[in-house]
Amino acid sequence: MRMTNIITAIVFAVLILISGSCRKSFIEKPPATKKDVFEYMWKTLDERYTFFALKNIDWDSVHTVYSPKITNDMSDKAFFDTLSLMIDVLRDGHSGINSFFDEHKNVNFFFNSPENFNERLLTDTYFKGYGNRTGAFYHAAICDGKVGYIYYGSFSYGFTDADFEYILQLYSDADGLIIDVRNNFGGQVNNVYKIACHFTQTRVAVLGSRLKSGPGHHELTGITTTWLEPSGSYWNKPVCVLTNRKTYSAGSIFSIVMQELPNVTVIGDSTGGGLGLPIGSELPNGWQMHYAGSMILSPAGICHEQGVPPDIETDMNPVAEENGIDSIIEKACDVILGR
Amino acid sequence: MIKRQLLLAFLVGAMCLPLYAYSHPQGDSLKTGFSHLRLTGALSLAAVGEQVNTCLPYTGLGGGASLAFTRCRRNYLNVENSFTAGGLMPYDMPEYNNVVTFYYNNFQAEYLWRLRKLNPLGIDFFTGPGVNFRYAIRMNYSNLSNSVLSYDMSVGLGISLRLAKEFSLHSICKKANPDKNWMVSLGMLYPVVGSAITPSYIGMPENLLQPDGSMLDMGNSTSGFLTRIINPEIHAELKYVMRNGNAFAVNYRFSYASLRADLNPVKSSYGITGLSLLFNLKKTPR
Repeated sequence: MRMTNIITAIVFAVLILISGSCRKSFIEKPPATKKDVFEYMWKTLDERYTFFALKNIDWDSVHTVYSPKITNDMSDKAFFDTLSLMIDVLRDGHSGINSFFDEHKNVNFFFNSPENFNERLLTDTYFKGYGNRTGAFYHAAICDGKVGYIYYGSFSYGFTDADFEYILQLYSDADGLIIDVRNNFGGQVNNVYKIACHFTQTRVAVLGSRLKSGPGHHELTGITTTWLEPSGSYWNKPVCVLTNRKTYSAGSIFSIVMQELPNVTVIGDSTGGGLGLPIGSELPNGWQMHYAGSMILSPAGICHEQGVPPDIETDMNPVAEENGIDSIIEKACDVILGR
Repeated sequence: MIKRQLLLAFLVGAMCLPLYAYSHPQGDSLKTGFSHLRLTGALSLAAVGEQVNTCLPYTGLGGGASLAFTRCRRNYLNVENSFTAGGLMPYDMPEYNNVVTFYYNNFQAEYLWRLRKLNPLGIDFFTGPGVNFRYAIRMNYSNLSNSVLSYDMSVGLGISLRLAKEFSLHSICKKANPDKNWMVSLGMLYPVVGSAITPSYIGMPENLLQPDGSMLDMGNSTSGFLTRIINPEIHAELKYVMRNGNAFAVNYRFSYASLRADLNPVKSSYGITGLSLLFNLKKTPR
């Protein structure tokens, strides 16, 4: 009996040792000096970022420039600022870095472009101080009730199918509809389809997409086509979509999708782009970075990463703006009413 | 290389045992032949090392449960599904308070034949085939955009070994019941062939943009033999059987997985300590 107990004890000890050593075999912190973190970040972007070729970025030269600036004894703040400058080379609003004390994001996609949006004009001139909101949509009848106007501020804001059906029903007597996605920085792509499905009667190819599939800059999957199925009540009158440079990411996707549908005209400025869905990685020191790991295309195979052009390009007229007129909305009303 | 050869030799040898056991069945069944439905509540210690969205190892605690059917007569049959969930944090990095939630499910079934008793200790030795299917899902809620989700799945077919020994506490404590109503057992399941699924190169599925798109991508699968999909599981148990055949048990289960996929290989381990209630399903109590 004693022998059995001893054997049993030995067996259990071996069991614990095996489990402990298996665990230890991979529970090791990666090297995390500043130079290590820099190399990891540079290499991860080198192997996983999508748009080096499209934007003609020489990433090797970026290493040559920034590597000498990194020393292990530099301050965390200086290190963070240097990595931020490096990731800014990508010129991509989906790229950025988060530390424990600061967050850096590239927002240059709307720099040096006209604002093309004035929220006060909406409230004062078009909503006349009384805006209705259904789900995530602010809406009103404008142009003497002949046009239904909807403002959607973020594709992150959820809504139900019933919300949008209600709005379509509400303006069913109007001659057309304006869907304003200016200053919409994006959000959930599914919300794009929940709106767009009301503006087609047939199945339509609306997007293509490619994912990074290997470390080489040109290693991408083949094109996967996204099809839009009609759903819910069909709106068969003219629709205008309003965009500006702050229409970004899912907002840009919305612009591409809607341009493929009948009766739709996109008006305003080019969107800001953002047509690589962002992914993220943790760095060895616990900071995080995010960057585009895919490429979204129009059905014709064009990537509008630098911005989706509208069907009718127009900026807000500053003089009209002074007089309380949003000339982009007015242009849309002209298109719908045939003025 | 030597390690691999030793492992190979050991496994080839071990694989012969079930064949031997099958051809030399032993008629004298255990005194404590049983048929049990087993409910287990468990605490788990988990560790994960992956690549799809982090280079940091994560460790943490979880809780779970399992349900099993076990029958031991001439042969030993065990069918079990265990589930555990909890939170992981970066290993040895107190300045980074990120929590990754994990869900881990493990199904296994084994049918073993009893081999000659290992004398003079009276240990019963069972061996035979076993199959396991496991999946793990992890959600990392730090600033990782669409890289929130990571996962791994594997299925394996291999050999299973089990040692069991019944004993009484009478020799230690004279007041104790002289019946052998305690049992200690140790087992291992080592898949010989297996297949695993890990995330695609960047962790995003190709159908992500589809209106009915899924976050899971089953396209990146890897199949392998012995050292490609390493997914052993060992378990130990101390059981007390009552007069009516019901039983209590404390057990420890350790699952290790090294899925050497071409893309995003994953290593993980789950040490699960459980307390079980076993309900006797035999018509005649012991």
